[in-house]
Amino acid sequence: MKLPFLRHTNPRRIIEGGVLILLGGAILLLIPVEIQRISGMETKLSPSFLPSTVAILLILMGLALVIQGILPPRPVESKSTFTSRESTFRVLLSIVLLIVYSILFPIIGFVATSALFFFIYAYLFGMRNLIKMTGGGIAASVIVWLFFEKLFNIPLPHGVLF
Amino acid sequence: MKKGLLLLIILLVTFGMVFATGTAEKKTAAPKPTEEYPTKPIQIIVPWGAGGRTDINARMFASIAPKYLGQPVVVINKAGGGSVIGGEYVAKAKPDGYTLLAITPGTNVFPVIFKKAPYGTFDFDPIGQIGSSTMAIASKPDRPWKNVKELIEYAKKHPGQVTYACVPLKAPQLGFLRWADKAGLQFKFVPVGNDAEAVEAALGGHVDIAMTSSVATIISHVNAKKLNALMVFSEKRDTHLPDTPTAVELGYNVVASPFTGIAGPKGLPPNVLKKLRDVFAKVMKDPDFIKIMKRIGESIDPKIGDDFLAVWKNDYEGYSEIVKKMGLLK
Amino acid sequence: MLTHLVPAAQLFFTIQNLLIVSLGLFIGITIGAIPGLNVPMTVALLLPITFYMQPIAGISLLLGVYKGGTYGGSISAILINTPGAPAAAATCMDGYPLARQGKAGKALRASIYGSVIGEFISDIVLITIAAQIAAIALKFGPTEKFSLVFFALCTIGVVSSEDKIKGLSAALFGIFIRTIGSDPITGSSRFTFGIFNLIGGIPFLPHLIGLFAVSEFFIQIERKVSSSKKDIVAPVSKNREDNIVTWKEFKANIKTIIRSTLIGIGIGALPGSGSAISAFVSYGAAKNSSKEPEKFGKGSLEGVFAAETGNNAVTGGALIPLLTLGIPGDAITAIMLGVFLVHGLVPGPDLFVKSANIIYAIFIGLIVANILHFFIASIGLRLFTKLLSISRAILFPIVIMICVAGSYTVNSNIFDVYVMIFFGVLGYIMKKFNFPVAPLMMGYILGSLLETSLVQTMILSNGSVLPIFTRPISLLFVILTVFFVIWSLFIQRKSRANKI
Repeated sequence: MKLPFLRHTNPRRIIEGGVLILLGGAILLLIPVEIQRISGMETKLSPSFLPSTVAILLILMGLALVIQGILPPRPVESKSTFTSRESTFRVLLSIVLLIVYSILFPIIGFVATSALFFFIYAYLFGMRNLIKMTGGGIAASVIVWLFFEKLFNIPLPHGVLF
Repeated sequence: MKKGLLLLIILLVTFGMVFATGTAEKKTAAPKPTEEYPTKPIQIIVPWGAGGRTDINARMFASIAPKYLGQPVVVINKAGGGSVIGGEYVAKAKPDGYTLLAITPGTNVFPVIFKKAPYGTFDFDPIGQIGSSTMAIASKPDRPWKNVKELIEYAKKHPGQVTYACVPLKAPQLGFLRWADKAGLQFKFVPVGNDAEAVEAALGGHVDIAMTSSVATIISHVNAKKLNALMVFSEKRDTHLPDTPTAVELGYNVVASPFTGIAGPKGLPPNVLKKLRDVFAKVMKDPDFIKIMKRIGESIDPKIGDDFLAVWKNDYEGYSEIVKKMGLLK
Repeated sequence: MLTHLVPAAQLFFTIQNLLIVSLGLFIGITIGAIPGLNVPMTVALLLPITFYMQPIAGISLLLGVYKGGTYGGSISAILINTPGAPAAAATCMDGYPLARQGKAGKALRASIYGSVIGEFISDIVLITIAAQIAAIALKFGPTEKFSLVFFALCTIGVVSSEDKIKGLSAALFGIFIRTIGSDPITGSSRFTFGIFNLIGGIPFLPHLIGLFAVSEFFIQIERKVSSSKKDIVAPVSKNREDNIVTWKEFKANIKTIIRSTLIGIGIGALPGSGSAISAFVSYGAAKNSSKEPEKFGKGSLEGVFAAETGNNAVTGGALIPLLTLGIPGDAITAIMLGVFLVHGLVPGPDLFVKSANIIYAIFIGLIVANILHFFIASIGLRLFTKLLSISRAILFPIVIMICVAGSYTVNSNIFDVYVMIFFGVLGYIMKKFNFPVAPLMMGYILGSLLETSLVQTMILSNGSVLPIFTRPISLLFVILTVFFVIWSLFIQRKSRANKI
């Protein structure tokens, strides 16, 4: 048994609205801590004016989303965009890998790290052709390196390998 | 099985990381004293984005210096943190003469005064000043003053009503305040993002005075009688504006012209420092260099070694004083 | 003017100059099309080379790069939903859906036609009535700029998604992101959490690369390629109709093209705004006056025409304040100012008197560049559509590699790569929850202008905000904003009613 008005509820929209409210709230809470005040500059508008306005408007937007989620008529359909659990896992893994990549390349060197991660990412995409995966990675990273260092004279880190 | 392979990859990567950090430490262990210098390319770090004034000056220097240095000079932009990131990088770099800094007061004076830099003004070894740009104030001809004397009179009668636009908390605003303080005048400050915006606001009649850090932005308007150049803040009159008096001539001891130069991390070996200063002096006399700097409106005013240090000192003290006096820093 | 044309033409028409303009266009298009590389940096790097060239050759090279780069961003925007330049963010909204329908060729051609025509008209305006336009642009003081920015932000928030609340929220969040760092007026730190790298604010390019390119990479990696058959980004239709813009389609879009061109010139002539705003405002204007507004965002050719004409028309417009006042309108023209100075051409009122021959030679160069742009882009089109036939498993790992290298090299700072990853993840989450990312970028771009112009207005009026409603140009934008928001709600309701 559901209450009649709940028939229209769109939980996803309520969550999205909630996140916006939290975001606005967090900004408001941070303002006194994170905004340093320099005296002596008369500006008519304090440095915390814009962030507070933005935060309050964000909260209002969040409330609007929540209200839209509860009340009929149903707003624009949110498409269900989440795919399988497996793809979510793949995305999470690729985020972690990207972080590892960016930590590693200044240490090991751009070309070697990039070739390695090209291989890993191609594998994640489902590529199983070993020749394409290694050859493609080495070729691409060497071209990128040539482009930046030889053509544009901007050094990329070389690290211990290359 | 697939997950097993992924796990293996992650493990491999982690091992690689540990291995790499281990060897990296070993590599940087023993620096040997530099006898011959330079034996490899030299980097000049520009703590601002590519294409700005500092960047162009550094690139011009880098294009001529190899002639006298015998090694290539590479310019690297390391912007971020309002130039503090690049400044810190050089301040903490190994003082071997292979990492130099394109230095302006924006890197070693203002962030230090406003306590936003993890280094001090004098944590660098000065090599030389390339030049300084002339700061100037200008107004539209339709204002009730035609020159700086009339402006002073008008401002005395209308305290806090005459508006001036310039970049806040850097050479333009602080230089202007130093002058206004000495002249006992009060103006209304309108902050803008860069020199061009200040000139634009004055041309459009939205503010009364534009204060720019370089006369290059106003010369053309002055020539076309769209703006009146009122006063410059350099030691001597600017060659482009021979009729415009300096603040010093009018009896206000304010010399505020942002310098551009080359510096290295503190503690450069004497032979390296000597070589760099010699090369610097030669570049400053190079006809190609002089020609191109003239054209971009930069006045070459070489000050080598301790003379350059004196400029830093003058800037640091002058600006610290006004910042304290105006209560700009908590 | 005519007396200068003959000597100017003699100055410009050399084999060398023609080759250099073509080279500039080629470099610009390539750099613009590759996500992770950017045009301002390229212009800055080419700068020292141009110092040693003849003035006309050097300036033409950079103008070629500027034009090519502004257009090039649309290629990756259409093909892989990743704008290579901020100006192309609006192109994604309809260009990518068209590509998914197999009509990549059509979208790319529309982008070429729109860009070239927009550029051409704006160049003509520059050559003929630059001084008059500059005089009008100077009337825009802080108050007018504030209203314009406010108008632009509302437009962008409203048009970039079906869901207007989400679009506006994204724009608001972008403004917040911009407040991180030192406050532009008092210099006080905001939300820096004690991190030195944040004192100068969030770096723009890593933020842009993350938001668009990296987030798209995460979207792509959701779907594996099947090992048996080739999995590509988007199939290209074999049907000839789908790969060209027919005369009928072109004729139907002439109004959009003209409107977008005018918006582009106007916005370009105002220093400090830029091509991304123009693209979005043109897009919004096109949507609001379209016969089929419901098609926008789902593959409307009109949308591609509006965005691409709008952003390329800025190139001529932005040269107006640069040449007549010496005031650069955006990052690229700021660098170009240096080139003019190096060659002894001081932009400003007396430029047209003192160096008339060289300036008219450069004008001829602009027009010639337009014509060459058309041909080079048409040749490039064949090449770039080939990209679509590369397996996603190869294409996207390369994209991510360039993104990392591109973010790192902007400032040689590893922190920027972390910023890129952060915005990549943020962009991905936003896309998953149907929050458009383009308004966030625009909020970031316009946030500081919004704040400084408001502060300036209040200082000049002794603390009052009344001038926003009493100054005529400013009031016009306020009314436009209200009208625009109400009108787009109205057409949305109408189109929804039509569906039912």
